[in-house]
Amino acid sequence: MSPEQLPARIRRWLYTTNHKEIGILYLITSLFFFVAAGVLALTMRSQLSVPDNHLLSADLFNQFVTVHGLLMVFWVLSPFAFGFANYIIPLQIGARDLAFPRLNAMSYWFYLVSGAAMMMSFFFGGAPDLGWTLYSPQTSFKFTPTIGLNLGAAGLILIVVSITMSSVNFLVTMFKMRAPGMKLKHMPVFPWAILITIFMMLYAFPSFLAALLLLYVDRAFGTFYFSSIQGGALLWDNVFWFFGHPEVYIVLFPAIGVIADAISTFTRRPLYGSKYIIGSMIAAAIISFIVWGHHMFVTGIGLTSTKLYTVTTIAVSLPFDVMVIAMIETLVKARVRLKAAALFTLGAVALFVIGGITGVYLASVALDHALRGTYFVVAHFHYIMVGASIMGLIGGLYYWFPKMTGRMYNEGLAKIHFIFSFIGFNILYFPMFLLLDMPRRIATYAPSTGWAALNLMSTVGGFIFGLAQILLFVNLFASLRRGSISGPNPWEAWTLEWSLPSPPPAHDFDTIPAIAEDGTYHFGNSSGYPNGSGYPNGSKMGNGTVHSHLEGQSPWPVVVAFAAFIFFLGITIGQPSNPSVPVTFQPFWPLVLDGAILGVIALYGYSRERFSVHEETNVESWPFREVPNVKLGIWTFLGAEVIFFGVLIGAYFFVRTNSATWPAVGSLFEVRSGFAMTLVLLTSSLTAIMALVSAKVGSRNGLMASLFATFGLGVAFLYIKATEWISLGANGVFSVANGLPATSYFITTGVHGVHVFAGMLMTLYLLVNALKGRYLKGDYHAIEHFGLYWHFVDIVWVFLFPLFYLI
Amino acid sequence: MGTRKKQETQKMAFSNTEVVFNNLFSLFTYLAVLVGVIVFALMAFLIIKYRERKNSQDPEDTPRLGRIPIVRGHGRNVLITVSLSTIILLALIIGSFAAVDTLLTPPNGTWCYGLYPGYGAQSPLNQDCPRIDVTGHQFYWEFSYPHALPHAPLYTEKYVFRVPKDATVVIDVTSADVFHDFGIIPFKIKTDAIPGRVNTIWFQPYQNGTYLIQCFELCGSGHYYMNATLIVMQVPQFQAWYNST
Amino acid sequence: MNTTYLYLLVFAILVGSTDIEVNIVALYPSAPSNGVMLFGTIALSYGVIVSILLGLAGMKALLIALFYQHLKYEPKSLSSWVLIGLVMASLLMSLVFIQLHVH
Ligand code: HEM
Ligand SMILES: [Cu+2]
Ligand SMILES: [Cu+2]
Repeated sequence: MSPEQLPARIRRWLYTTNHKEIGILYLITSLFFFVAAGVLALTMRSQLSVPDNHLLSADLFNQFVTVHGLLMVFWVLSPFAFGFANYIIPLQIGARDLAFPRLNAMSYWFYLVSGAAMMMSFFFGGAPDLGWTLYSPQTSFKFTPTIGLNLGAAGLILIVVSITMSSVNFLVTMFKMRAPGMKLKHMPVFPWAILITIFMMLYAFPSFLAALLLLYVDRAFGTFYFSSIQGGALLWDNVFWFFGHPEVYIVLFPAIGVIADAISTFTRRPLYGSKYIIGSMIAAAIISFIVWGHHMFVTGIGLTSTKLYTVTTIAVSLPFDVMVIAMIETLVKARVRLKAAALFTLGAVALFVIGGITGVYLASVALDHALRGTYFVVAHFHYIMVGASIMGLIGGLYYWFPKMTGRMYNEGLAKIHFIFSFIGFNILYFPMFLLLDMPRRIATYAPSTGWAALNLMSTVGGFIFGLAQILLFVNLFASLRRGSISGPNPWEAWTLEWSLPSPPPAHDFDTIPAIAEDGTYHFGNSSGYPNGSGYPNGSKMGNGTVHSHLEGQSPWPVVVAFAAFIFFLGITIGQPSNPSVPVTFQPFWPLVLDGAILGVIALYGYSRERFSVHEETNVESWPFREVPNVKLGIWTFLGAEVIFFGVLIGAYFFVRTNSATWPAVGSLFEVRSGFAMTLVLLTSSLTAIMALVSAKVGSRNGLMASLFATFGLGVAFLYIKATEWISLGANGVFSVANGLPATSYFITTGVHGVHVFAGMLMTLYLLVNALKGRYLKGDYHAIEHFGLYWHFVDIVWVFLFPLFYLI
Repeated sequence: MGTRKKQETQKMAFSNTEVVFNNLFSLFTYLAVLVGVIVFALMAFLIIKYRERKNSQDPEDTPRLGRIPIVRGHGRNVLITVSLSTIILLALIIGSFAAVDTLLTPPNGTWCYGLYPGYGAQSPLNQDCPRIDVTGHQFYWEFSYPHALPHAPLYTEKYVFRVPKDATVVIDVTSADVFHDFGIIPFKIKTDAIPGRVNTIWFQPYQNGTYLIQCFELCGSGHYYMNATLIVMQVPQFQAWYNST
Repeated sequence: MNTTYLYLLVFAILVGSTDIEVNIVALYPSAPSNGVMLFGTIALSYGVIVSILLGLAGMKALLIALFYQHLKYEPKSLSSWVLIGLVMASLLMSLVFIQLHVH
């Protein structure tokens, strides 16, 4: 594909790597999904408005309820917030862009195609229809033999990839690229909230990815993780909710950041106890990883465990308590300007209080024996996810709209929008608290239940809330052209983005801003400086160079994402292997192949492209001053990999401890072949490190030989592995259909094998370049980075060997 | 609570589990309303009191472009907030633990509904008394009663679940296919029905009547009609029905 | 010490401990004696052997991380970053186990 063939405007958006443009893409796309998921919701509310209704069939209702939940959680809330993060955070911390602009573009395109896969599921035998929590064993192919669910899983996998890429990206950016003098403590709450969110993402999403992978393999190859009773429902519950609870905070925290900063701006006061707010967020983020059992109170995990989870869950409400109180204390002696953005954010705090308090009800294992699975839960989390998150983020939209467009929205219309949203919201969701007897996710109910009146009320509220959002779109759309000019800082806020013109120029800062010891800062862009309002008389402290904009266009991110999309379509769209007894399905191999080939080409193009990212010197980068960006990124990524493999190994332990019998050591695998593979991999680690040594001393031959040896050892490893797989399969006693020992062995070692294979592709790439004489002396970084990955793969095997062969 | 009042609430209630729930739920709701009212009143008061007026001025410490705002806030206030909340939350935890102990610990020995000779209303308490098996299927519930004779096959019925009034009913819930959840709505008690696992709950029905049982976990296209009727009967009627099976 | 020798030394330790791992299996209470019996005919309990094996694996992983991934020579910020991650991850793993076994 040559770039010249596309009209310039399309090309600009397809190839952009500019954080502001990508931010806009995120915002628009997430609002699109917001509308789509909202339409599904209103259809469901119509169906539920009266008893015994048959507007929607039960099948369709179940699909709607599922896709609505999935879209809102994954495709609306986080991307909406990350649209702001993309646009605003570099401006707020004084960076010119994200650390890896092309990776950022790739994240967006993965997000887009993942959403496409999700939506396509409707047209392939029905969308997923078992709730956004995808409970096992109903997800087995046996119970849900639809391609729609495969596609849904593919969509989820793709979005997890997108999220992982962007979390690494933001993490490096925020740790390493802050403007000179911008200490972490100087950051506003919004970047802090994003930073903490990213931490949770990094630790939570790999668990989900592992769960989805196991699910996919079960469905495609008939393995047993989720279709067996030893794994099954509780294995899914554990890995899903281990991810799922942090996930609900992941969708909340960015909104808290927006709310906190907007409240400070519109009350004209510094946030009360901002460090306590941030500390509380950190505390809540950590605790969020040890509360997942509260979604399993009635699964029979045992009295002691449930009590433990009750305590941790109730404890997690304390930090939220601190956040809310701090925001309210900010109002004292303030000058509250009730602009629309203020109304939305203050309203969000109020709704969050209700959501949080009812969360404490659910934290009680005793009450949960009544409330689990009822509309009370639905009310609880909508008060938080819609009441706090969506309302807060809409507040953010009004707040930053002038910055992004240079125009003011219509204040009066926005206030009407708030009033209808707020009232509609409460009419919609409050009745659900009173419906604490009604099961959630039922397609209809009998008149005798007495649930009709409250349901009708809720539906009315739903339409008020839903239609009110039209005001938002009309307002913003009309204001794009007709809004009055906003100027750089219409809210008289203090954060750095307001020091720039609205909208900011493509390169953001003429000079990088700098913060002095006394907390005053220099803007970095004089054109944005608003006349006469508090401009410090500080001297020029930026590092003085004026950059023309980084040319920042790359065709490869979108191509890589498209290739991944094709690949995943291939592995998910297919035929049941045996239509009469659907147990597994057969992927559509041609498409898989196309995707893989295109992907390899695109990745090659990506890595060959000359795309220089300007690393500012002299930036604030505590605590990682001495660590290069890429290395920090790789280590962070490896951290996510640890969780990923940890969950795979955990799943193996889980089914093993739940199985009454397990084959004895030595009876299944040859200890000898495991031993051989271990030696091979250990040796390849030695050769990999020797490659680095040779590169550093500038020995091209040493480098070539070491890389070649590494590659060869990888081949040897995979060869032994393949022989083992084949011989196990040939014996018949150990095909995938043999149950859990085979399932856990094939999947875990298989995933590891794929990692080895990926590493070998990397060595090939390095070899080609080394042949041309690259990587010598000071140019060794690629070799080092490859080594970090390769040794990690080795470490994984160091654990797999004893776990599978020796115990 | 005086015994008299207790008996009265029991008379009103459908089951012991409902009493447990109602008591705990009211405790939570008292405190929730208390906290909620304080917080909202404070918020409304502050917003109204400090709203922007024509001639009002920005506070002295208003954050302005060009300077990182001052850090303010007292650790002391945080401490007070956290301590007060902790007291409330501790009360809730203690209450919840007591309640869940009751809910999840079947009393030592159960009254075997007069099914076995020798197990009477007054001399119950034998731990070996058989329980009732509840099995979820896509999309119905199945109830298996122990037979009067040892080793005789279970008596199995779908859709309808009969128990004698005032009996201590212990049920073992499981599933034959996918993840369901067995909930007796008016009794405020439920447990998951999971293939390969058995979850035990118990209850004591206080009133004759029929009650709605429903599945609380989305389990497929028939989920919404996956319900059953619980019929609580006088003991003699129950025995008559049982002996006729 | 010359780094190459250091790397070779680490490699030797890695291989050596793998050898121990493979042979320790022979000490399972009733394992078929296909390995070299290191300690004569002592049989260790299953739990002890599993702990030893996991301990050895942990040590090997640590060696690789410290030397081959040269964490030992990285700035403290990076190594503690990795350490924090690992501590969190292992805490979580243990929690899963507690939940599996406490009823
Ligand atoms: C004070 C803090 C909170 C507490 C104590 C709390 C407690 C709980 C509990 C115990 C449940 C399980 C209820 C059940 O399924 O029976 C639950 C469900 C849920 N909560 Fe919260 N929560 C809190 C905050 C949040 C936040 C901040 C969010 C999201 C932004 C959230 C979203 C959800 C969701 C989505 C579910 C339902 C999951 C499902 O589909 O089953 N909660 N909450
Ligand atoms: Cu949760
Ligand atoms: Cu069901």
